[in-house]
Amino acid sequence: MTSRQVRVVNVLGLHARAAARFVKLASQFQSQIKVTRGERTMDGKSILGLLLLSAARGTDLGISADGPDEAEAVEALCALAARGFEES
Amino acid sequence: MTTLTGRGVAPGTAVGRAVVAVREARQVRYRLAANGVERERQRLRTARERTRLELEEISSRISRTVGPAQAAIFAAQLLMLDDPLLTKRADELIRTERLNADWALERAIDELHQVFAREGDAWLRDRVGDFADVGGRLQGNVRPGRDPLVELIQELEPPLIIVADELPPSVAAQLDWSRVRGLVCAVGSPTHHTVILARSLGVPAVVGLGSATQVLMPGQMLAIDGTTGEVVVDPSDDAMDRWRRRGEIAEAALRGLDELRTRPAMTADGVRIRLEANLEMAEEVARVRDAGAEGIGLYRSEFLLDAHPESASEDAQLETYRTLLEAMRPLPVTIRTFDTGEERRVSPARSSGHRQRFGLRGIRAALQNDQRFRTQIRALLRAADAGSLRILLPFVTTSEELRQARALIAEIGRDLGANPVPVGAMIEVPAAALTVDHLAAYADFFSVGTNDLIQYTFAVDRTEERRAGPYEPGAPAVLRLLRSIALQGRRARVDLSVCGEMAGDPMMVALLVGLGFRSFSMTPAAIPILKRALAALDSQEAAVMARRARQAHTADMARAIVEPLAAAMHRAALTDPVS
Repeated sequence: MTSRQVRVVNVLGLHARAAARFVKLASQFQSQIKVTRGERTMDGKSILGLLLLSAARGTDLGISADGPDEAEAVEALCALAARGFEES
Repeated sequence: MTTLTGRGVAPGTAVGRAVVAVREARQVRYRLAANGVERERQRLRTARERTRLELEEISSRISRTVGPAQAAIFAAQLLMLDDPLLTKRADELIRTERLNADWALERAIDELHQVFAREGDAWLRDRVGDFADVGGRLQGNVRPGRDPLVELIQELEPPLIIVADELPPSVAAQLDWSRVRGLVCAVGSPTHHTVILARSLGVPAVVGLGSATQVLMPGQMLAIDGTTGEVVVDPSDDAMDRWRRRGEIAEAALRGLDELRTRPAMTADGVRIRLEANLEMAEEVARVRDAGAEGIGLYRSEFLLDAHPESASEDAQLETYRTLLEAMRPLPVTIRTFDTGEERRVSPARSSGHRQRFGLRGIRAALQNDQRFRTQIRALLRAADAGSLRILLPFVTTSEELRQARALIAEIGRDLGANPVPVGAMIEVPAAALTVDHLAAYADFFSVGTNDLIQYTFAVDRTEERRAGPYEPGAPAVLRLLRSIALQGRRARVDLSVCGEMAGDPMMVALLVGLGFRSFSMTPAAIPILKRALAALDSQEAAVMARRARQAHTADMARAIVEPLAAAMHRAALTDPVS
């Protein structure tokens, strides 16, 4: 399993559109993907789950992947988050 | 086993499995048989694909016309559609708990709603709209363009009992009732059109069980009694036995029906009792004759206002009244004039229970808004030669009102050159009950409306789910008021009848006979049973008992006093008539 921490940097946080981009990207990988905020862990391929993390700007998230392409998955997803989910 | 009690509105007993329908029967819940699971999973998949196509179509249209950024919202909805917490969860519920697809989706959506609500974060709560939107679309696609309950009743194995928050008449009319044994509704009243339909089909019904769709689980075995209003959940063997016995009572009543029909009702000591029928819909008139009623004691004409605005035109009314009178001829038909205010809601599904309590109602509205009243009186008087008509005026409070109404009726009669017909007054307001002797100067007959009389005496609304006070037909205040009415009526030598629900209950009839009443009007199905029950009642004994009951301090004590007589009547109702 590979995991890394990343901070939410975009103004709106992990809202529906941002979460949609995350899920779309996550779904391209075979690995199982988890996103953790504090005590809560959600399926990274579930947009509702991600919304439930209620991650506003400045929140730290843990992204982990388990499977054949886990390293690439964590790399790509953290990069997406760091880019502010393609938003400002 | 638990027992809930609602209001029995269509007599008879039934045992069957619960099918739950909510939101005016747009949502249905039931438990699947093992072999039904795959079909429901397929139904869910189909709904998902249908929803996907719709969302893609919307998304591309918005993208073209508004812009890609706005279309992204639907991209998010498309992802929700495949979300493990929504459709996967629903699929899991179908497999593991054997819920039907509609119910599984409803549960999955509810679970999400709860999580979202619990998070309590304003930012997050704003997101609820998106998934509620996609969830609703998905639910609508499970059975697109059909009435889910209608379809479901065809698919399920009878015997079934429908449990609904509200069952609109438009849905009820499409159901295959041969597969349905009983009906339980959270709202409704004896006059709700769905209830009337159930009654005319002989399907027992209980209404007013506010929490029915939450408390009663789909697939649960239920035993219901549409007379007492009982709903037994997971009945024990003992309860099933009881239900069988009750069913036998009803059958016994039917067995001797032909013989009973022509035999007048009489107490054990030979006092003649007159039994008439309340008629809810003109179409039910055949049942009234079948039941052996001696006339129609109460026809609530305001149903004509529910159906169609045109059905209240003078000619349409004339037609209805004439048909009714002809069907019953030579027996009397008592038609009560419209008992409504002006602002009565028109939708039949909604107009069920809640008629206006006070204010401009009944005869008051009639005298103020006299055009509608005039139209109705004209129709009634023109129809009168078709049979034996009696006109009953509702919500009378004072003799002055009655005098004015009669003057108006006489005037219309002169204009038409019509023969006079008997005109009577409802006694349902305590002020009228206390001045029956005055009213008698202007009334050819009285009809005591116990339902309203009890409400106004106790100042409670019986249709309210959480009644603020008692509504007790056997309470001393009611018994004393009724006794006073009976005495005043007898002294004035004016015909007196009881219509209300008390008249259909053997225990209450024992009391009413004891109080001095000799004429009753009730739901047709109760007539044969009551004929048998009365044969076991001694009117002298009933009088003694009623005197004691009037001295009781509580309704419970009064009931205990009546109980032995009522039990004897009940036993008599079970036995076959003497041949």
